[in-house]
Amino acid sequence: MKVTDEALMLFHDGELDAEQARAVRVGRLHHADVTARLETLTTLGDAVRRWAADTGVDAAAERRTAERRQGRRRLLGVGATVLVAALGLPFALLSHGRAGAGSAPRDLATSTREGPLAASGPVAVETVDFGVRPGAVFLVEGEAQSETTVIWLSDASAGPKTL
Amino acid sequence: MRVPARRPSNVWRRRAWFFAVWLLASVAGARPVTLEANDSGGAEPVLELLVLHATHAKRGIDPSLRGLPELTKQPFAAFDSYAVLERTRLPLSPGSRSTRRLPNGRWLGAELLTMDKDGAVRFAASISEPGGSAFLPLLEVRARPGQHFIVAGQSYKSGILVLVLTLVR
Repeated sequence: MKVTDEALMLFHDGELDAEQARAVRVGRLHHADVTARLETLTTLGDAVRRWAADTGVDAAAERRTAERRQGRRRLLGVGATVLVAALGLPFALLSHGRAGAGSAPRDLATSTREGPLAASGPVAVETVDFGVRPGAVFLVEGEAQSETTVIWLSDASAGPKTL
Repeated sequence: MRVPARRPSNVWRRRAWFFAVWLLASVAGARPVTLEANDSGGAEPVLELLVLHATHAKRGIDPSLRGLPELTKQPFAAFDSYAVLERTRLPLSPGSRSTRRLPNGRWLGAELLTMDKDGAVRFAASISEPGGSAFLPLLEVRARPGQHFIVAGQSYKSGILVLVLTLVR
């Protein structure tokens, strides 16, 4: 899996959504160069912050100005979308009446990835990505009636007796 | 009248930043940060890895595993023999991955994510194929010192590997 430079920068800034951030974290665990590139971003970020402090650049003010500008653009875009939607609504309603099966919801994609399982036992499994193989997370009774978290991996060559 | 210069958008700013990063990385050169497993003896959290081999060899459970009653419960009870293959420790550090080669040739990696004030530790683990592709791409867990969990199911010599991971400190 290739982690793009833009994705790394967004990850570094905490701007990736959960799924993309997980992909970057997977990259970090399996490819040392991803960690090295992230370290470089951190080093550079620290250098930029030092430079901003030395030269008196107010990063917060710059960011606020940029956000205001972006907000105005977004408002304009929303306004244009609403206008187009209002103009196209009668046509959409007409076509919807003829749509039939086309309006049925799409099937949900199947995935072996699990969401947060924070309350799943003594050791909380927060994220698990089994990749292309199926897997399971469950609890087994352990010592002194406590429960132990088990992550079971299905190894294709292990045969049906493994679980 | 002075016309203010148009500022680059966020996208262009990012691209400029990427170029600077690329330039810096090219000069500095990427360095691998993978660490081999060893006990550093410092204050950083340490993960103890116990590698067990579960088989149908009718040899019973190794006496040193009496503290793991889980092995007598399903689905572990489906195997009648448990032998200790290896016991080692992996230090957990933020931003660097400790790795350990498993008996089946795959690699177990672990990396510290955060340490909470209440003593709990969040860390990520993964298992890679010898060629580098992911077998278990990502596992993120939150544990307290003394707690353990089990990663099992990989095939190995007519049985499976059972990895018992304990957060030592």
